[in-house]
Amino acid sequence: MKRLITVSDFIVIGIILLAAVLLLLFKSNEIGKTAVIRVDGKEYKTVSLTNDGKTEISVNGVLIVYGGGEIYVENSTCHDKICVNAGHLSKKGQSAVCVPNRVSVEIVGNDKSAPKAVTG
Amino acid sequence: MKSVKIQKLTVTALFTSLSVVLSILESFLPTFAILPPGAKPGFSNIIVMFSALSLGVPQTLFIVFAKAFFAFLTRGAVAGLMSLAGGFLSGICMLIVLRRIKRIGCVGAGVLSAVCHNTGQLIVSFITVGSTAVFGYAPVLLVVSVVTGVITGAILRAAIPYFNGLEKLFSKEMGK
Repeated sequence: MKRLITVSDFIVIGIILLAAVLLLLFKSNEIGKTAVIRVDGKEYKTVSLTNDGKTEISVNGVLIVYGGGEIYVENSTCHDKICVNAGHLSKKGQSAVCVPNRVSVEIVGNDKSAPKAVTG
Repeated sequence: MKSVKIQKLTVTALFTSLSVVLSILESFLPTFAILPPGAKPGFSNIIVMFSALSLGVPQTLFIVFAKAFFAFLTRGAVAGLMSLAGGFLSGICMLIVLRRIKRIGCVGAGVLSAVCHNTGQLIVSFITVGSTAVFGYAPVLLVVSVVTGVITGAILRAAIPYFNGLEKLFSKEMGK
């Protein structure tokens, strides 16, 4: 009979948690002022988050709001709302993704020039 | 020999339906506020794990494909693809870990299965969304995998005697 838990199991769990911590450490705490909105992997719009007022933009059934240093998905037609629950983004590297609607929002940093869009 | 084949077929059919029923039940689970939505314990993975442990390679892959087909029918193409990629990766991982690596117990197998499942789903999200932004979820998913994997692994360990009982019941019925 297979055992419930072994020493090797603890090692496996330890390695996975260590990997998660390392990935988190690589995330920058730097405030990002520019966000890229992508649809189907192609850049749809690059927006600046520095404006004080809120601006709404609707793409593929995903309602995105930005301004005041942050960007977030207000609402989406998708079922699981993972993008909405990603919350308000303000730091470089943070992202909100809606897989069913194939829309992604990612904060890229301070410079205006957006990185090359990655295509699937 | 023939009755063994029929017995295996019956048990596979039973476990396939069990895994589909469990994946329906999973969708009823409330999404916890602390966890990202979609991060739920994969109860139907318990069936895949048991199948990998005692049924065999074709049976396990069949259950994975049936589950993905069901997700495709009820939740659409993207959900079906995600279930297929996640299920296939974790199924292969289970076949290797549970059959070949004796040192790893049920909890470790559950955790590895959950990690593989999430990796498969992340790869499909990356292809559909076409942005590396999806990998931002990786650290959270890894931690969640450990939690849900421990739960499913523990349930698997507790369920193995009952599953084995089912199999024995069928062998008796078949006059083996």
